[in-house]
Amino acid sequence: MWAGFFSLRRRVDPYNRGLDSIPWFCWWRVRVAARIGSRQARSETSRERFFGLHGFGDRRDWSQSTDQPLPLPYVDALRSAGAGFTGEEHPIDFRAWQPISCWELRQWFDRRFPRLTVTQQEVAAQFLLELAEHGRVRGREGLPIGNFGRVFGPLAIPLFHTYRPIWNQPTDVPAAPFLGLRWYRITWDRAAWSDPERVWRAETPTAELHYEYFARP
Amino acid sequence: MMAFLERPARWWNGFWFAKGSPYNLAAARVLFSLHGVWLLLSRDLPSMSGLPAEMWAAVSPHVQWRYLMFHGHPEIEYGVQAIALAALIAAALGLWPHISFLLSAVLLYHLAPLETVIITSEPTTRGFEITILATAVLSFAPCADVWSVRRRGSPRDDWEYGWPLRLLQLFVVQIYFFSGWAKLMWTGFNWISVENMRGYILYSNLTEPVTFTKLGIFLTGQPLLLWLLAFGSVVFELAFPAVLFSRAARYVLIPLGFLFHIGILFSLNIAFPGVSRLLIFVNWDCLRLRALRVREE
Repeated sequence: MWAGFFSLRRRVDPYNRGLDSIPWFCWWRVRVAARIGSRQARSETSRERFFGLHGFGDRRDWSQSTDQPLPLPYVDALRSAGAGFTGEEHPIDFRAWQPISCWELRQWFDRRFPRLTVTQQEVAAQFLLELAEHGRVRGREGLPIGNFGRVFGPLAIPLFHTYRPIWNQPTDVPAAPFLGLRWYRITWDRAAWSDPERVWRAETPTAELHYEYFARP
Repeated sequence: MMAFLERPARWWNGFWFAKGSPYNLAAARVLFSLHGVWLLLSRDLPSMSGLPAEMWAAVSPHVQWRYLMFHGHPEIEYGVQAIALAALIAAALGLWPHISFLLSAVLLYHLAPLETVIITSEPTTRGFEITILATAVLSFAPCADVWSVRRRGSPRDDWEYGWPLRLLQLFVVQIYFFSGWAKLMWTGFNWISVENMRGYILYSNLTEPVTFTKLGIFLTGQPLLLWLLAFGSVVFELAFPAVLFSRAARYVLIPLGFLFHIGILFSLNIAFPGVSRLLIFVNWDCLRLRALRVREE
């Protein structure tokens, strides 16, 4: 941990300079505050501008600022499903994963999860299963799913990707408890995308089981 | 040589130290602080600290030290969030703005990365980025001289209200400009193609169940419209800095910005939480004077 602390400055992301400037900015703010009473001179303001303008380098502010063409020839994504006692599957409402947002979870599962040991994967999967099951129970009881809308309700700032809730009524929610989770890798052949009609008709050309976890009795 | 530099220097000073309105700066104060409150209460960042250690396994120690965020302390994070909320509300009301904004900046700098910490340490994609920078800048600015529950003391020069708002506007502008810039730098002019736009729309609409699909379905079958949208997006983004210099550009590009985000929402299902920050380009002082005039009549 200490090694990480000492390498802090060396390993700062060069794209993230805007936010890196915040601690220095605050430090300088404290220095100026110590001289309250003296009228702010233009030179001071210029320094302030410099620190603020440091944020100019923060060009990743906008999510599409690293936009690249979609990879060819295949596009894939992960999709999750909750499985019951008999193995039947049900899609999981995105709100059930909160406090993790659905997009972050998918990215984590794709990029970080494979690096864990088998035991670690099982612990994480058990936690996710409990989250999904907690959401299912609440949805079944007609209670709000997830807690992002706890204060502002439908007026809460939406997630970056506007997923569609699928558990809108208690009857939409699976009655049987989730005993397992399955993650599928869905793959589209980009060649087919030149014919949108065909794509919209056949939404999921291939689905391959990526990971499966069932709670131990 | 000095004479050669004199003109750009005069322009530079004229740009930054132009007269500003205390009302416009106060509007920015209220806007940024309330946006921070809205965003904090629309997420549950402290809970992310309570995720299993396995989900934090990829978070490097240097990231943890950098943001002073460690796994397994959701109670502390809830306390930090409560202080941040109190500071932001105080700032919105104009109470001790220097301290409350500085405190907000520091605490949001700490809290913001929690949202995406399991996959990245960059807190730059989910709405807090400009808020953090803006609260830091506002901690310096005389932003509570009007529309504040506390009255200010001595009178100030007009330029003191101008530069902070300019800086905040620059932060907002860079979001758009660097988006257009990066499209061309990373991808080149190939980004402006029917295939690319169609790919994005299909990807956004197919990979997860999403809220809006009608516009996406319609657009994927309209190649000319797709090309125009791609071209128009890049031109709009690269032209956006004009709002810093031209009133006419503000009249055109700011409403266009709202339409731009509405279009993205309905076609790509991407909600940009910072869209309300375009309101800092509105001349609130002018609207206030008009409202006063109407009331007098």
